Amino acid sequence: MSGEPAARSARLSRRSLLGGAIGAVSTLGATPKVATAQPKISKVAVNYQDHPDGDKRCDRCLQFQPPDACKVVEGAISPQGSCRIFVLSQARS
Amino acid sequence: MTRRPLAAQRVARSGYASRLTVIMLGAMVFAALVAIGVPSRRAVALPLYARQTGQPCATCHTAFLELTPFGRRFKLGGYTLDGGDWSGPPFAVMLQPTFTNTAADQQEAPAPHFATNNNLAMQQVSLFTGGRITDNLGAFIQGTYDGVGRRFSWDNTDIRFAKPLNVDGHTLLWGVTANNNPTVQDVWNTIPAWSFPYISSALAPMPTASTFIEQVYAQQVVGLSSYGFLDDLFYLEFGGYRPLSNNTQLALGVSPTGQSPISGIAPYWRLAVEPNFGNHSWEAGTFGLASKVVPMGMSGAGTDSFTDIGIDTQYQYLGDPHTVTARLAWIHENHNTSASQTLGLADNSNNNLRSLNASVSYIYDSTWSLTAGRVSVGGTPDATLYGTFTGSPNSAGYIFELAYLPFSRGGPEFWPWLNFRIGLQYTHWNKFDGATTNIDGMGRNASGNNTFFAYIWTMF
Repeated sequence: MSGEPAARSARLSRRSLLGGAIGAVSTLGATPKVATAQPKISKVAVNYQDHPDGDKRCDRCLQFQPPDACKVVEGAISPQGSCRIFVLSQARS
Repeated sequence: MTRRPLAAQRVARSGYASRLTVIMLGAMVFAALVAIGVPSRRAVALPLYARQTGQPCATCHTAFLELTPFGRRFKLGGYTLDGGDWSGPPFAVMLQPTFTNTAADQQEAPAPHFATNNNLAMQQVSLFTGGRITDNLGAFIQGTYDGVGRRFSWDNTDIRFAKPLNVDGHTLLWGVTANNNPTVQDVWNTIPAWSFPYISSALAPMPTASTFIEQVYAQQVVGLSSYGFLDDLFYLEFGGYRPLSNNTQLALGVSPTGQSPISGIAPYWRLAVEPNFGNHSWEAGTFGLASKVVPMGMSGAGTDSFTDIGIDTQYQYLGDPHTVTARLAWIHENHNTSASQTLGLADNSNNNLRSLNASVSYIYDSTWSLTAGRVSVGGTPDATLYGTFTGSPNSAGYIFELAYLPFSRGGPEFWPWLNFRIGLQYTHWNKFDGATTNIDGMGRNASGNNTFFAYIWTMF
């Protein structure tokens, strides 16, 4: 993805800006030593269905990751599916 | 304070009303022109999260700041979910210009630099930061300039670690939250930190009595709790709060004067179930806080103890374009006020309070929100403890609010992260501090505190 260096820069920026916050939680010894997957949202919470809702179709959504995934919703996602948080991708419209 | 002649008050009120009308109409016209005439893009609730996720305001909020099922899970997941392409710094700004009118002038100005009625105020200016720090660590951090008290302080803060696990075929999202306000970490809009009304006047009279879990400790404590969300259905949280030292509070902009600080650690608990089916989301739960406090910081007589136990339920219909939310919370508080009684700060050695907050909202197309609510507090009379003329803590009223949120589904091209909640709110008091008439011994009636409140809540 072309935005990767920028995204990494943003993450570093956030780390530096919010480093103190990490310290607050590190008292718990909870900071993971190995990176783990970030929590995604369940299908039921977004009312996911494996069929389109009119023009709303996962393969036209900003968050769709071909062939069968979503950046924010967990599990296998049908390109023909739909859900409540559909956002039209300008690139895919 | 010298009261102005009635005719002058009428003229002044008329002038304020005209000014308010111009301001409110101007804001609505501006928002409407921008919404209609300018190509729209994604917009925001807390804009830094919208920029992070790439989602519009309406994904996380029915009408901000009420959360949708998605918004609740974003928060439980530690504010870490991304999906957007924003690469700038993680900041957002909030402005709350307001106008407050009470049916009768107040006896004294509610704050220095303000009048006894018809006050315009920049109630809050807040700077937010936070969002995703790592895959599993994120934050909500708010600093606020209080335009009424005219000081800067830290505000709601919630720093989380969250991690999804798979346990014997069950999904478990577990996490830890460090925060500074009991219930600020909660994700349902029923319990105190995030319940309706989401904004209210800082310059209008408010009932004297409230339970301890209702914002009494906000920003005066630090708390740590651990939570689990099992199978996207069952939520359990347990933790505790301890007070910040006076020096720490002063350094953070909080005045410790008049506080009754927690002694030791106050345990906090939360249990809820949230089934979702189709466009329906329903929650039922319980929550509570048990605290021992040093009355007014006077340690000679030991501690009082307060146990707050609440039950709550919330139903949401999340259709397109129609959304309906119903919320209900009831809190029972038992006081053991023997230390206060010994110190002459209370008449009784035991008291209790009951608090009710119920409301229903209809939201059209994430843009128009109409809400009606009922609030009440009641309990045993204690004239010394509450300091009310009647000795009673009882108050009850209705709140009605109309709000316009033009950019929940898309902001203007020139700044797509701009969002407004422009609202008109009316509070009608049936009873105030124990009475309907003569609530203060000087002839003021509860209806004199009826409040008209207008605001232009701005986020970017």
